[in-house]
Amino acid sequence: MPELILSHVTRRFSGHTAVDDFSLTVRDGEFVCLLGPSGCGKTTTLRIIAGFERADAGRLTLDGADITHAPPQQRDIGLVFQSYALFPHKTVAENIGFGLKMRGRPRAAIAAAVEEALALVRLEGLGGRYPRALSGGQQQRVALARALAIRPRLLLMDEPLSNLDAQLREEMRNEIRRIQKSLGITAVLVTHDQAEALAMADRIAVMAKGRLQQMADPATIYEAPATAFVSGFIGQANVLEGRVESTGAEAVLALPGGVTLAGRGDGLAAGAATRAMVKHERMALCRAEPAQLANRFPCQVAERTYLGGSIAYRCEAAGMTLTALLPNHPLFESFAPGDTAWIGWAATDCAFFPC
Amino acid sequence: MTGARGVQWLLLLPSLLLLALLLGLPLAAMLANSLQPNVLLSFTGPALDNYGYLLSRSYYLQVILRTLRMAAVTTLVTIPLGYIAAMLLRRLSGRAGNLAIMGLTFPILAGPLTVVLGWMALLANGGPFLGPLVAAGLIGPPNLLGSETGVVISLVQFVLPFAVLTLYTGLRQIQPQLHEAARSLGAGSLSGFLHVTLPLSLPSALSASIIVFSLAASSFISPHYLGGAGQLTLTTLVTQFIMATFNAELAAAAAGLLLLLMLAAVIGITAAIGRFIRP
Amino acid sequence: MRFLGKAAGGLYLLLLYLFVAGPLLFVIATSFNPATSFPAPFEGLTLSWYAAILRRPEFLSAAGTSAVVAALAAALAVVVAFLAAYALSRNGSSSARGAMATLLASPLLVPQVVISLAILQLASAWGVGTGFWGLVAAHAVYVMPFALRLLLTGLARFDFAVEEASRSLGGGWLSTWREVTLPLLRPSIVAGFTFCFILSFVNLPLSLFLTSPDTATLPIVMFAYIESRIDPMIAAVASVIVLAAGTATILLDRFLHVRLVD
Repeated sequence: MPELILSHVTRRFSGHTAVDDFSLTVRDGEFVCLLGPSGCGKTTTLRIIAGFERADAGRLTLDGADITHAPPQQRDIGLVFQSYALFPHKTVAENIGFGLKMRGRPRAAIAAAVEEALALVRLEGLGGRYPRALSGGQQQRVALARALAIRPRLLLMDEPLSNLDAQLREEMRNEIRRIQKSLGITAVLVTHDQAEALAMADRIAVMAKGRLQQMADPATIYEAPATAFVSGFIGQANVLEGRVESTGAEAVLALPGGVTLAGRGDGLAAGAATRAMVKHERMALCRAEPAQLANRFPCQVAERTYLGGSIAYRCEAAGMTLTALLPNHPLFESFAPGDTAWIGWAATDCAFFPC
Repeated sequence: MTGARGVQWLLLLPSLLLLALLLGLPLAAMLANSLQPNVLLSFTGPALDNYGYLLSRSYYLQVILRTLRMAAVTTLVTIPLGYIAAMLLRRLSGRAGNLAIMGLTFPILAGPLTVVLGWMALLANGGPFLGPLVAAGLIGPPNLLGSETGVVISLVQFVLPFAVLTLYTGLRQIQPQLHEAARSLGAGSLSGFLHVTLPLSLPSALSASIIVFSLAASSFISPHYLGGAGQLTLTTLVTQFIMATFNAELAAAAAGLLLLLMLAAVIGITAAIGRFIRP
Repeated sequence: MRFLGKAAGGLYLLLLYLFVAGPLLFVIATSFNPATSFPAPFEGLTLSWYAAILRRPEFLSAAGTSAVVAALAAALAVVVAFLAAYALSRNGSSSARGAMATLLASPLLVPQVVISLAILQLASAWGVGTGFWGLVAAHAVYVMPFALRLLLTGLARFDFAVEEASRSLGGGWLSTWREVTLPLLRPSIVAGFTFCFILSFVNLPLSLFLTSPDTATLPIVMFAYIESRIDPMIAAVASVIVLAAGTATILLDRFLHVRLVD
């Protein structure tokens, strides 16, 4: 079964460590997104898996076999490049058939595989064109078909959608997902776009500064971030700093102004400097006091930003500046700057992270 | 990839070997030869007597000064002419720009020997353009053939394409938005040029000046045909030593002197223009 | 005002191009003039000077020698420059690349007469004749920087990711070069060879001290001829060279879209 295992992979460049003791298991048929800001080491990790970058330490196995030192051409890993890297002097069919030609397959078999791959990415009849005669979205599909035509054990994609415009990007998300599932192929996609990762992945590996921050399914990543970095990187959060007053299933944090917050968190110690994070859309803003919420404060609306699908309110409450994101829907109350209101959030939505 | 550095050096090796064996080694042999005694000067080598000889005779000093003067005048005339042309060409695009650049490449490829034939005809007796005016008594005979002015005119013509192409490449790399930004901030067309375009184009002006000076100082064909025996430069002097007086050691010394002066000139030009280049 | 400025700019460029190309155009015109002296007033149109070239076997055999020397020098220069340009573009840090490119361009700053003299004196220091290969050596070292410059320009537009794509699809080093790298860089390689060939073919000073009667190049034969006399036949020879160089410039631009400048 094609299962990819990275254990304790490290890659240092002069001056900094791009990938730091990174371990990851991608299960058979699973779609994993490596998500992180630029410079977090996700592309280096992908290039180590593909064999274009060596690991200074650690080990890679694919399908049970050690591939740490195998040259790229012997790994049977399909790779989709950010720039697509289509061969401009070869037709679409020649591009797609290239990997099979390198494997010495007979001409007829290559032709059949190319037709199949073209059908898979819905580009029937375009085999005779040259890459530059295709649109960006079509080039993207050719790059995908070329990587898949060799029947790889693993499909790697490096920011494959970043060169497409917004509309096409959403279409291609679903398209790549559909193809991956229909082939049952194991896939790893590198991206800095959280929406892309949340929409496509079975599991997301969040990376920062060369290290794995959290590896979990999209909902867990979003709802239960393991670190302050993940909490701040996925979605937008209000951040408040204070010291732990009491620990337990429901912990209490004291802010400098004398305000206390109820929330949850692991590894907290009484008196330790700690950060509370609450997602903007988990904030309630209403005229009546929301008695069911553990954290609630009277506030004054300072700023209203109309975002179309939602409306963001910046509020001042007990020395805190908080942002609440409300759906733009008649069921929700609307406020104007200067209005007084109540702002609140549940203890379960309030995550505490040691600083 | 493992060993990528090693592979890189391996790929650079042939070109470095080519330079070392076909340029470095011959130059070393030539410079060694320039320190040896010869039919004219007997001394126990290696010593600098050949250089001392060339630098102590006013005839040879004149040759050296003439070489430097011609190259300097050529540079001072060519760079402004070429700069204006490059500024104008920069605005052309597509087909016209393409043709303009080809038009400049073409004389380089045709070679200086064919070009100089044209100058021999054009400069003799005023040539077809000035000739009729001379015949009509409107102007005196220009006598450009065999004069320093004639050589400089042909040198300017020979090096202009190199200067324009270098300056053009440099000017094209300056984002037009920078000039527009200066204009939007209240700079006039001229002060926008003086404060933005000109300073940013100085690196290419520096390379153009070095190329032009070097080409002019090392030119052989123009001084040989248009200057003749009366207007010897260091290159034609070297040929005289080899072909007429058969003195290989003095030829080597003259060549060594030329290399030394060109090196000094490159350093001088770099210092003169380089101090205006920021950062 | 705007129109006047444009007109003045156009006039300036026109005069500049006339100045740059004028001597060449005049040589071509002269080659059709039946007058026997050079220069002379125009007396009509004739092709007899071109026919006269064919009756001078030394010009034809010298052209042959020049072609062989130029082909060998250009081939050597392009191979060596390609390897260097590839290494510099692929791996070099930009400062190392700049320093190396400057070092490899150094032959441009050495006077060609001096290159010729230096190779002559190295050969005599070793007590051997310069011979044919001394000639090729001088030409190769001089044209190499031109090849390097063209190839560096070509490689700057080359997306090295296509090599990785080939490798990830199972291509080894050799098949990646054969299938992907070399075909994509073919225009630069062909253009580099052509430019080097022409620059070597028309060059006089490099050959000045390195030819024997057996290995006289075309510019050397022209040089000797002009020393004794000048007539429109030599203009005809020059015109043929100009025509060939012009054709090559146009062909390179039209079919390979390669120029000395981008």
